[in-house]
Amino acid sequence: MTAVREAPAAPPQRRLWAIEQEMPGSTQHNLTLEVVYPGTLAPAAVRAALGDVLDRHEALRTDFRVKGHVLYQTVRAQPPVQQEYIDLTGQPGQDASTRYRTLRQEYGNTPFDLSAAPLLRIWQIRRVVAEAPGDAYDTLLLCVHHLVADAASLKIVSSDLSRACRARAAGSAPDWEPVPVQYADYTQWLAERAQTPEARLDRDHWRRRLAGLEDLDLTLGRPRPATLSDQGGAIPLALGHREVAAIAELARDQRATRFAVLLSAYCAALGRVFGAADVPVGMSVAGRALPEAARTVGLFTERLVLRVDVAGRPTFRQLVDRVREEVLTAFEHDSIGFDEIVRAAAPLRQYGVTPLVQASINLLQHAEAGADAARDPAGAARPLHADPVRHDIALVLAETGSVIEGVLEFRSAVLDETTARRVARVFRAVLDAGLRDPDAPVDAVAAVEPAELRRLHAAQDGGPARYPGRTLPTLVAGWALATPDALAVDAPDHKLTYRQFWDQVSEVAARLARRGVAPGTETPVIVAAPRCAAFPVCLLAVLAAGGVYVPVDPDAPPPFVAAVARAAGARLALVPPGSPTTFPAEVTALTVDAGQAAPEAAADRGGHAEINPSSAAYVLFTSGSTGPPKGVTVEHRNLLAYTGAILGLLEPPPGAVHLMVQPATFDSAMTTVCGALASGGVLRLVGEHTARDPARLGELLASQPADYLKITPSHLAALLAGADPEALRPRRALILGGEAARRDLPDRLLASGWKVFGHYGPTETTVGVLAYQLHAAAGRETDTVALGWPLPGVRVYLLDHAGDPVPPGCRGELHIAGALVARGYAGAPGPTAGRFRPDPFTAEPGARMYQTGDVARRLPDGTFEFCGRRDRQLKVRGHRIEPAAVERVLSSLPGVTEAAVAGRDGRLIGYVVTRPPHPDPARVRAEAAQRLPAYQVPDLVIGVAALPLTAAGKLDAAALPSPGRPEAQSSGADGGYLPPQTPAEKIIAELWCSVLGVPRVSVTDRFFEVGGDSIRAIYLVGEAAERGLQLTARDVFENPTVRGLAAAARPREALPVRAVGGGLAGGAAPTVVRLANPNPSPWPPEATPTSVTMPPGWASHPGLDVTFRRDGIEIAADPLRCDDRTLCDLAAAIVATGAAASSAGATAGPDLPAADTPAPAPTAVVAATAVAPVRVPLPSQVAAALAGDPGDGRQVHDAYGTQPLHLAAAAVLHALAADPGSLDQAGPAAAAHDPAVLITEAYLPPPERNGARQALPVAISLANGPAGGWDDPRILLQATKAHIARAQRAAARWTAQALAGTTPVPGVVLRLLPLPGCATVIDAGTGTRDGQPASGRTVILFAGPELLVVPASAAGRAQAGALASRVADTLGRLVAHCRASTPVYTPDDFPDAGLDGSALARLLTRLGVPEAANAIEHQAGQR
Amino acid sequence: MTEGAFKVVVNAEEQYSVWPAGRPNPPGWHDEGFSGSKADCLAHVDTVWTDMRPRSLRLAMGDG
Repeated sequence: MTAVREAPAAPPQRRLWAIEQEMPGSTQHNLTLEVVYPGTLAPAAVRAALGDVLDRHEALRTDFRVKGHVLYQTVRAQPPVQQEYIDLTGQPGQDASTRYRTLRQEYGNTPFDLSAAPLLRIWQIRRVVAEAPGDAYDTLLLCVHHLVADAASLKIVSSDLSRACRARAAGSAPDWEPVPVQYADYTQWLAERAQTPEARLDRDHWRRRLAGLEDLDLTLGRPRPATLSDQGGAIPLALGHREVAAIAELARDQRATRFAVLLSAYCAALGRVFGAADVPVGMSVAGRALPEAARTVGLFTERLVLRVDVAGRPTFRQLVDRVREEVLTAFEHDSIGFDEIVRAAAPLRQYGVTPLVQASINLLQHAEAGADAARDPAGAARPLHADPVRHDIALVLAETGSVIEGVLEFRSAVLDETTARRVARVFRAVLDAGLRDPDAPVDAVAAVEPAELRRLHAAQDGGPARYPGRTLPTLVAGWALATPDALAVDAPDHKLTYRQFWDQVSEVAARLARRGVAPGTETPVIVAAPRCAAFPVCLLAVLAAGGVYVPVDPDAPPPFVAAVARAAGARLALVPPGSPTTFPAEVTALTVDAGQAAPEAAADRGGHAEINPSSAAYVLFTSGSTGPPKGVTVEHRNLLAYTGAILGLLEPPPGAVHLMVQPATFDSAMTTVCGALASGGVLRLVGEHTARDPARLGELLASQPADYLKITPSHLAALLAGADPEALRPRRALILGGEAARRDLPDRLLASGWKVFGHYGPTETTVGVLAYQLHAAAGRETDTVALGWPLPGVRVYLLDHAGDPVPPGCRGELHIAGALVARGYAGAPGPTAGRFRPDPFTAEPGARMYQTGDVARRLPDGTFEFCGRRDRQLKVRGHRIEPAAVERVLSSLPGVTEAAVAGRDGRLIGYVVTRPPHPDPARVRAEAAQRLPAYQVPDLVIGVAALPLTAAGKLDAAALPSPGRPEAQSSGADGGYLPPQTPAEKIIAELWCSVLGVPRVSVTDRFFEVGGDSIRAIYLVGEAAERGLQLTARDVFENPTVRGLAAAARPREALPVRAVGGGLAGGAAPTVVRLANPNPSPWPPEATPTSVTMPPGWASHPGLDVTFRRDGIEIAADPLRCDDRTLCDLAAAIVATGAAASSAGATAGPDLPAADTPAPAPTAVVAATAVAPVRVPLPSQVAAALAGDPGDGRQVHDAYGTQPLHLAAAAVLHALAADPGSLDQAGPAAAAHDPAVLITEAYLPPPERNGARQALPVAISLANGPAGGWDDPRILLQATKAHIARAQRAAARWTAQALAGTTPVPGVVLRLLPLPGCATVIDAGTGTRDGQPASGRTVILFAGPELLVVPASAAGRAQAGALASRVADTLGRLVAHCRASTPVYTPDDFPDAGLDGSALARLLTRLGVPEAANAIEHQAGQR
Repeated sequence: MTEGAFKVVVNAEEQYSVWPAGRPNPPGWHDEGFSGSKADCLAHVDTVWTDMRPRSLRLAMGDG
């Protein structure tokens, strides 16, 4: 087929094409059109009409191929159309209808070959009208691929086809004019628009607007499928005319559109169902930005990204306002397409997940649809919905007359139907409620309906609390009666039977009573004891006496002890003999010696019926935090309920040994204490050293095994690292609690036959509220230990930020209600009121629930998956990171026993404890990088001897060390970079760097996690082809590492050719860079850009012009369109890729650069005219300052917060101002105009990914300098900075005017040309285009160690020399001044603070920087 | 009375807490009178909730 025209494909086409590659054989982008005619049409007429339509619209004759790295749309001359004529008139009515329906189904279901035009086919089906068998009519079924058409296009095609059919039926061609703009023209226009300053501003807007946007949690914790699938469901929706009218009215009231009203309801629903405060939604727009393209067929639809804030309990009216503004803003910045938006926003990419927006909305206008198409005289056309890409969830609504109908579509691999139905229901409910009362808060609509909520909460209710007795002391007294000689306490120092124990408790209680401790007084008594026999005696004694037990670490520093005493109001303390604890003066310490036999107590002492269950039992103060200690007051009834729950869970028999390894100050220890003493078991205590030493503990347990062990996962992991697990195994059960545990630890133990329980609960709800017995995971959904089921007496709610229950599966904050909710924070009523809130979900009056700060989601089996603490979440590089998730992966790596991560200085640091053979932390990081998404990989991994734990045995993240400055790090600084080894790996790695825009990649990096996406994958394939390697896009997905891909690649045959385009705008002197031929052999004389492969990305750059000479390449860059840095990058790229040339006519084999051939350094030629420049060498300090080298080069800029450009510009301005006459020599253009100096590359943007950067040139003026002030270096630099800043703000407008020719370009051009490693050679006579001198301008160029001034004409050489000397001199003085100065600040240094000079001076004075303040005042006075 | 997002509520045991203004109180909780920002409400509670023992306990202890 003849190609009529070829052009690169447009961005929406590239996007769609890339998706098609991932789902070959998919037909989901086939658009179908059904046009019913009232009569019949001759097939020949239809064929001719179709030919006319194809003639008229190039898009319909287009197919797609990749050449090089570019996807091309190729318009063919006369492609053959697949046309079929099917006659159903002979069939009886019923059969015909059935057959027709089948056909209609089929014709959309055949895929197109996208490389064979036309992407269109037509079937003509003839039927008879049921009631009038003589009347036949035709239906045309048209199927077009979305790459070449959208909904509007279908309408155009349909109407054109009708017109053509009528004309052809009458025997003539349709008379219509050619369409003004064809799709390929529009593509060109899009490409040009992307280079405009407006596009740049829009990219900046989207980057800011979408920063930190998180994906919707659509899967509710389930894993996403590994491959894309378009299996899905649809839930129909309909809005009647009353609702539609109400929508219209509200829209009018809020000066918004009906669409905005619908979108508001949709966002509210998404926010409610998925727990999002910030809802991203994609919106399809027609995209026909060019009015001339209104009648053009092609893929114009684009996607806008809307980020709707639903937080803060807005009313529906307020939400509509927000949405209106959001939509308006989006439209104001629609000069770039969706893929540019994605590039600008650089969100986290996941395979198979549409970036930025997984939810979409589409509101279509339908043509009037008749009820019975067969009778419709106009020939109804029914197009399908317009959005090319199926989203995970999409709301598609169509206005038909006065009603709105539509569907909520969803991908079933992502959302289950229940959730989708919930979204639909909440959408309707929000809309109805919002229309009824727009001033009610939107979140009055619940995501969970009352009946469902009742069921949910019933399932999350542990049932009534079980109280095994009245108080703990009464239980113990009972055992003293029942089994007096059974061992109660087995401590390192003494053993006590239950009778002995109870006697001692009674004796101490009596002592306390003599000092005023009595039931009802709630007298606090401090107990400062280690794990020794006195400890349980003291604990029980305080409780028995009716006091409040306040444990304190006996080794705590005196100030802490005093603080606890003060906070608790304690004046009594109990300590064992020889206690080191120092108490403040007001506290009386009583010694309790458990070794002394106590007088036998009356057997029936106990009962203590007078202790009210609501009275306080203990207050536990948290240690290790800053500020005054915060204590939680737990009442007797709480403790009893917990005891009953734990006894019910474990069912420990009397005499079982409960091993306590946790500190008494940690409420987790209560599990062991109460578990033992309330069940007649043995409370075995081990000393501090034994508890932490695996060997000693193992030894101890070898001779006397324990039955129950409660421990934190960190502690257990530490013990298991040093001992044979079997030595530590409790005979009956292990209880893991206190922090989230990864599953591999308990899984290992379960595999060895251990019985393991999980246990969760904050101190504020009495030790523990959720627990369950773990089983070897069969089809488990999480890789952490789930939190468990509610214990008796516990109710669990998961609530969103507004306090409403979240749907099952959605993340919410855990709230605990019921009998285990403690009294509150001792002496802190305000904080208590803040965290202990009214429980609205129970009928029990005055009930409270505790807001835990833990985020969790409900699993299908009714347990809960811990999703992190709200306050431990880190935000690193803009991504929310749950440390536990990263820690799990790190600790699962070979050789790593424990791991932790923390954020330090904006970096994510990993800490690992390793065992032999201790792996290198850098290696650990590299391994982690293979298992974690890129943003979760720690920047640095450090080996530590042990993880710091708090006294309670939990990780103390704040105590993790900070690594030094990045430069100071030796190990891990490379972070596991593994360089490419084989030639193929090297090529692939280079290609990745080029396509992804990164400086280097490790062979183990995964493509989609270092910035790759489907489109870049395709580019990669193209570029690989140029380098002689054969790859497919599928290869990239299936072998996403450099190593893997290199192994999959095969050598290729021929080198393709590509055109190099571009032209220069008039007006500005081009910079010309000449590169020596990087090839060993000279270019053949007939070498043209098309016979040489250029590095990717430069093909259509509008600001570059490339010429090939025998011994080199010359690149001329238009400074208004191409900044110098880009130019230098191109030079470097050419050298790096070692452009291979094929001699004329021969097909060369792949010319892969050998690994050890050094790349030849380019020599740079910069000339604006035919005149040789004046060259002045710069002292090394000056050159360093202009290069901004680390060390001296950068320190210079500390004084005034300058950058190299400021120094250069200041020197130039000063030199020009000192001798205005020099401007005359610069040409008439310069002297007459203000601004007088054009600075290219003034924008200094951060490097962008995979696109040519574009700095905007900046024009500054001499006119606004302070009179006589140029001589003061400080004022000169400040003024220059301010000039440049102002000019930068106006750069876009100025550049637009200069390009349009409405502003003349100044006569002096300043270029700061960074050509690292280049020797600068000026070659007069060769630096011009076609031998013509460029327009007369003076170019002042700072290139490395040299300053060059190129005069406008030969006559100005002397002047140029003088200018050069002055500039160099000024520069030297400025640098010397800066090096000697202290920093000075101006209001411009704080652009967002809106300070003026005197305000800044005051601020600086207050901050103690008086000399800076004085400088400001001096300067302010001078202005 | 300042219009704010939260209000102070109290139950029969004379325990204080905060609740979003504009939402109906859960059973057994009534308005104490103060409303304002959450921080202001908590600061207010700090001044009025002097005895954190439940009222029933105080009565039983004879401390009314």
